[in-house]
Amino acid sequence: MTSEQTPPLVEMRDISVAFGGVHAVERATVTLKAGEVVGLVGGNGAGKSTLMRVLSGAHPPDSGEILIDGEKVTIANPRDAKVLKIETIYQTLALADNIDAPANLFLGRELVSQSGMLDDSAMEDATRKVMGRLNPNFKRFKVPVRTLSGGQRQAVAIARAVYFNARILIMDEPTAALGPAETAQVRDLIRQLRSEGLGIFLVSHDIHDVFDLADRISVMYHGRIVDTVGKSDTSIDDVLAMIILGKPPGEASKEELKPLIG
Amino acid sequence: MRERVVITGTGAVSGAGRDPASMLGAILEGRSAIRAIEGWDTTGWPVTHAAEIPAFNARALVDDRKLHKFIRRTDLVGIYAGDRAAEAAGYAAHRESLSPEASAQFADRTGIYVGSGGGAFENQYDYFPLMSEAHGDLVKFGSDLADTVNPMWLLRTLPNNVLCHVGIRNRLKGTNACITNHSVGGTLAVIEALEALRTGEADRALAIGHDTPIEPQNVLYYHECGLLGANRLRPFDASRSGSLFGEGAGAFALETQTAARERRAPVVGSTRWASSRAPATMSSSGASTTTGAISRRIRRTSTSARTASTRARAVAARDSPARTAFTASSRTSRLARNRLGSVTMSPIAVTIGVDTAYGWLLALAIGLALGVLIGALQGFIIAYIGIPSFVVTLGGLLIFRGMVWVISGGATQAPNDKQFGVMAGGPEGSLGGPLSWALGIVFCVAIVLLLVYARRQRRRFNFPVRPIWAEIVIGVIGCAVTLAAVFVANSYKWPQGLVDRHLAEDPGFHVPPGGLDSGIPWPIVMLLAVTVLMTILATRRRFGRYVFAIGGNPEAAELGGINTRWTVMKTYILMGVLCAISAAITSARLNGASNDVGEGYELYVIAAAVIGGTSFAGGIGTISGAVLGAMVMYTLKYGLSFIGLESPIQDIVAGIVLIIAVGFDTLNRRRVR
Repeated sequence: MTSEQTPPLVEMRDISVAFGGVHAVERATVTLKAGEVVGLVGGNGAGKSTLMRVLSGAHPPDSGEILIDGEKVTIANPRDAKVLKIETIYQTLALADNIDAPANLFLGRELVSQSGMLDDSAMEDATRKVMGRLNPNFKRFKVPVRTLSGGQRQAVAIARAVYFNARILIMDEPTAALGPAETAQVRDLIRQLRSEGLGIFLVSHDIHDVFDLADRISVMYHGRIVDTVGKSDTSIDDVLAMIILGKPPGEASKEELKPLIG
Repeated sequence: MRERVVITGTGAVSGAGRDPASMLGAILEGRSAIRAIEGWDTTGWPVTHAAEIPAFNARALVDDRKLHKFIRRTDLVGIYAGDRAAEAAGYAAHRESLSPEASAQFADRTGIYVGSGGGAFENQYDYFPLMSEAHGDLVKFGSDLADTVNPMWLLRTLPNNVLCHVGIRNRLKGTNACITNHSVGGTLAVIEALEALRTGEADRALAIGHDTPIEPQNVLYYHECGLLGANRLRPFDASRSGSLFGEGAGAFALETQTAARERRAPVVGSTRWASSRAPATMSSSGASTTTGAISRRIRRTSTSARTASTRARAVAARDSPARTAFTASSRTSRLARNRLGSVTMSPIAVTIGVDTAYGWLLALAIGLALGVLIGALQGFIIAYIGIPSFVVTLGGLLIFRGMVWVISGGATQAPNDKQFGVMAGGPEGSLGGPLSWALGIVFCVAIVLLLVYARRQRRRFNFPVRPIWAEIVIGVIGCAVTLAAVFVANSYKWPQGLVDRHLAEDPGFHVPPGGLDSGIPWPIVMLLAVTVLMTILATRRRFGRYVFAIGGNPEAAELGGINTRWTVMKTYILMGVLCAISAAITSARLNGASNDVGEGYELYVIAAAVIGGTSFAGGIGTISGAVLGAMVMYTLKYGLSFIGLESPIQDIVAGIVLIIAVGFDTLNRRRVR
């Protein structure tokens, strides 16, 4: 991959993050190309979300560097990430429950009239349009998002990420709170966005989800990247083994693999 | 350990009534005590009107025939006030319940302090002719004084009649003193009594003020301070706008909290005495300022005294009782004009001596700038250092109040620049008829424009809109309410006395038939302006949106790319400015500033906001709701006071209303969800 002529869309090199004495992420390196979905998998506390928070500006790294289109960038806060067209759908959704959907969608990037007044009507109009694409049944534009269902809230969070023409999309467990129909919708959306040329980091517990959508899969274990494999070069069992043992399949002994493969 | 001092009884008599409650009632209702003089010999005086005790009946005041024979009327009122306070405090009743030894002990531990003038009644008017002759020339008046006023006036009578007789009648055998000190004798008596309690010389003490003479130099001094009416030095009666003299007396039964508790005495109020430096301050600062400072310190002298201003005035009236110069008219004279532009910032007081017409604006600007500075400092500590806001603002409250105390030395800064009084409201601080109508029409136009704009906005994106008749109904109701409010404000007319005074100063002062409309008071205009601006800021600007988002979910706001720290800091800066504005209005309304103005307001502010629907959890609330909440709180506060409920009951009712109002809101929200 590194031998390619065009530099990757995103390259995170030797990223380390420590909370106190605990290494949440340790010298992790991942890459992402345009029009590619990279799945990030691992057990609880493997460091997937923390690594992605580094890219989205929510948590600056202790060491390591980030390259976008081969150029070194500094992402100190979410504003920097948004300028670089990196959008994130957080596991927690990161919605302000007390304000309505348009206000959440445009939070931090409100549309204003020439006099600097909020243009709520224009924001509502834009929200109606983007939500029409994501969730045509959504009609509750004027109520606090607190009163919305889990799926509706998720739709608002996704709408926020896709509305601003992101180049890089980070999706942290995007289907965790959704029913089967909504999950299918999100899958279609991911495929569609990939075909539009976005690079997508997909963080998920659901190995089937990842296998279904990702082009490549990076496995994390205790803050380190175990390996990054192309979907066609691996199997679900191999990936599971890496998640559980923290070693590439070649390095694992038969005894270790036995109980897993059974 | 400082002992808290409580008030267990009060007594007072003046032209306005024979007890604190009726005097306060007169003040609240604006009833005047000024009448034609009946009981005094006015031969040779240029005065026929005064605040004389009406239908003076010595026997009704003090039931002791022997006393009447050798005690003057001015001393009788002092004895009356002292007796009433002792009676209210239940001295005699309590003593009867004690054993002989305990009773003697009780008497020994009960002191008495009297501010007395020595009854030099006539002498005070000796200089009236000089005033007329001087035609406002202060130098001439001052130089003639020495030849006219008898320097031996104090020796003509016994100054300690009241002290002796009240002491004997009520068996007060403890520490005592008689103070004859210009016009602040009553104040000094209170201070001395408090000092005796503080140092443990007594468990309780009666403090009485009566017959405090105004010597000519005091009049000159008051004139300099702008305390005397009109812009010429003259007695009240010359054209009814000069200085007014009256008679009266007042008394407090003061007691340490421990002693009062032990004998289960009725507590009608408490003092805010905490410093032993005040008596020193007294000598260095002017009489009037100290009177104000002390009077504000003594809270709840009367159970129904509710607002700080009425409280202060009620005590001031008591403090300087007999023949003290009452100001019957404007407190500002030409000399004193522009001398003091005083702004109390809650919590910082600024006094600037600038002799320009716009000095008060400078003082106001500095007060507002100080608000910005304090808000920024607290906001910085909260947002960037991360100390909890409650801790920072509570600490700030203590720090800045303490600083004000240090800077002011505990003394009240008064009076204000006259122009500053515009912000106090009242007829002179109101828009007047035409401007009020203009403001009402501006509001109506704004209502219509807003409705049209909102409709056009929704049309622009083909959103559903209200039927046109509904828009018209809303517009008509809005305009009607606005114009009705203006009509009500305009139906308050200038009082005749005020009109007369303006006519005296400016014969061209035009008064239309039917009276001069007061209109909307400036403080209300400022409230409306602040409400409108803050509503725009909260709902139509990014800043407001961010504040709500941070209140709802600070992490989401941060992840949304909002600079949350700067937003939080800006919020505190804004609070600093709003606090400065309200402090300026408060000090304008009090016509002075002291370091304890606004004490306890922090809790009322919280209550008002919560009643108005603001959520403690954050992210929910409206500006108009908070304004309504404040109106509810204060309507309740004043309303209960007017129907005569005592302060403890008022507090109980206010607390119940707070809980019920918020309870309804909580249940309602739960149901909706």
